[in-house]
Amino acid sequence: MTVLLFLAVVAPVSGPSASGAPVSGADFLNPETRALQDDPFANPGFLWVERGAALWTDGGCARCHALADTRPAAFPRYDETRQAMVNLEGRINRCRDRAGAPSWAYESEPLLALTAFLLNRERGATVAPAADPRAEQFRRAGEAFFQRRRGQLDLSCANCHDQLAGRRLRGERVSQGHTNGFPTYRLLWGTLASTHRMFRWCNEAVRSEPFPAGSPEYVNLEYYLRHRGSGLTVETPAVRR
Amino acid sequence: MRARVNLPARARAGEVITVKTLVAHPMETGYARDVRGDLVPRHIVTEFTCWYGGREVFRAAFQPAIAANPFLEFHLRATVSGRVTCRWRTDRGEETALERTIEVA
Amino acid sequence: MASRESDIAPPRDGFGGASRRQVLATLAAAPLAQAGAAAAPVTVELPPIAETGNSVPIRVSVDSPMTDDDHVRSIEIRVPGNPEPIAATYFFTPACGVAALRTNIRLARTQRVTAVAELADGRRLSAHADVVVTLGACVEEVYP
Repeated sequence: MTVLLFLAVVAPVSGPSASGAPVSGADFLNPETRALQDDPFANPGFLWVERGAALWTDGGCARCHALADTRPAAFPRYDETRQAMVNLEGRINRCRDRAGAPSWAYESEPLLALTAFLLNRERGATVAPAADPRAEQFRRAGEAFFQRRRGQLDLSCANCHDQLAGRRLRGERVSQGHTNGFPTYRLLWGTLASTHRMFRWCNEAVRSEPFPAGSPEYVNLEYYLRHRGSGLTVETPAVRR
Repeated sequence: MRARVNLPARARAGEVITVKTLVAHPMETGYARDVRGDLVPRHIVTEFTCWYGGREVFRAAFQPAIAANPFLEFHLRATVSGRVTCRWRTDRGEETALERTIEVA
Repeated sequence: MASRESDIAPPRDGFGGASRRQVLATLAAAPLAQAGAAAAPVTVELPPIAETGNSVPIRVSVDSPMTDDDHVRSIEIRVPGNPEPIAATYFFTPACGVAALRTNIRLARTQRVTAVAELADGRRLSAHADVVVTLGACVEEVYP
């Protein structure tokens, strides 16, 4: 009994490959950070959600799109004309392009606000990317990116977020690296941040050259991570350390 | 600056209510460096003031140790129906004010 | 709005251009009334371990009737382990009903955080809490 109990305590939280059930980054947080995420007033991410709601109405989106028909959680998805994956940020900018408006840069306030507003409407919904055979090669490319060692530290995403998830690394418990809370409010940065900013930061942390935000490499990775996080609930805007 | 203020729309006379406030601001400490190694100039919200019943009832002076996007919760005793006004000011003279009304029975 | 009469002392910036050394010397020189264990009118609530120094939730409250004669005038949050040793000062009136606040502060390192309350009769009371500030898994800038 004692031995079993001991094993239960030291066993790392299983990676999704081991147990099949992914664990949200929220479950790796201290209680007070979790409480901040769950407080709809104090969670600073809602400053962007509110801004996004205003942009949807005043920025012209509502002229063409019925809010009830949007499926923000279905992105990234296969785009027939480009024969590649397009994520929500890319979809929004394509719309702006068609309207003759300049693109919004990654991490710009309007792009973060609009993506946060749209995904917040899905808060509580289950992450369930649709099976699409045309997207399969891109999912595989994203998975290969996830598994490939890179940088001076020679670490892959999987080395930490699959194999070491749940273990302590300095003062932090290593999360499984899911994207169900993005755009997410990062306490470290004091701002809302996109998945691609997080990818860049993570790549730099292992001393590798990050890819540009919006690059096909990152969109494919984002798409793979959607699949990898199937079954989690959308938490946008989450709060992470 | 975008801001949020939350307080109950109605309260009984004498009841102590909770006021929650949030303002969008990076609270640049003046100690951080950008990617080029240059110091990011200090830029913070320095002052928060709340008026209720035509009088100033609460005030705060912030330093760089207040986290980005300052959250502040405090209390008021509901006495009269009317406006509750919150105002934030920065060290560069920018300001934002928000007004809420409360009905006191 | 600016023309309204204020019955609150103007906010001090906490430093007034003074150096960190001068501020700490001033703070050390000002004796605080020792609250009896039974009275314990000031409460400071902080997580014992902060997940990140960039935002640490803090709640300070003072047990006070908040009447015209007997109320809390101000609460100051002191963070001596930071480059600037005062985080914020809050000015109350009897209209507040309760002398309490919640906010999020930055902590440069593990330290003792002290709240100092000044009462209407000039007495000053304090309480403190110790916080361990941890570092995250990967390379990151830590305030400052």
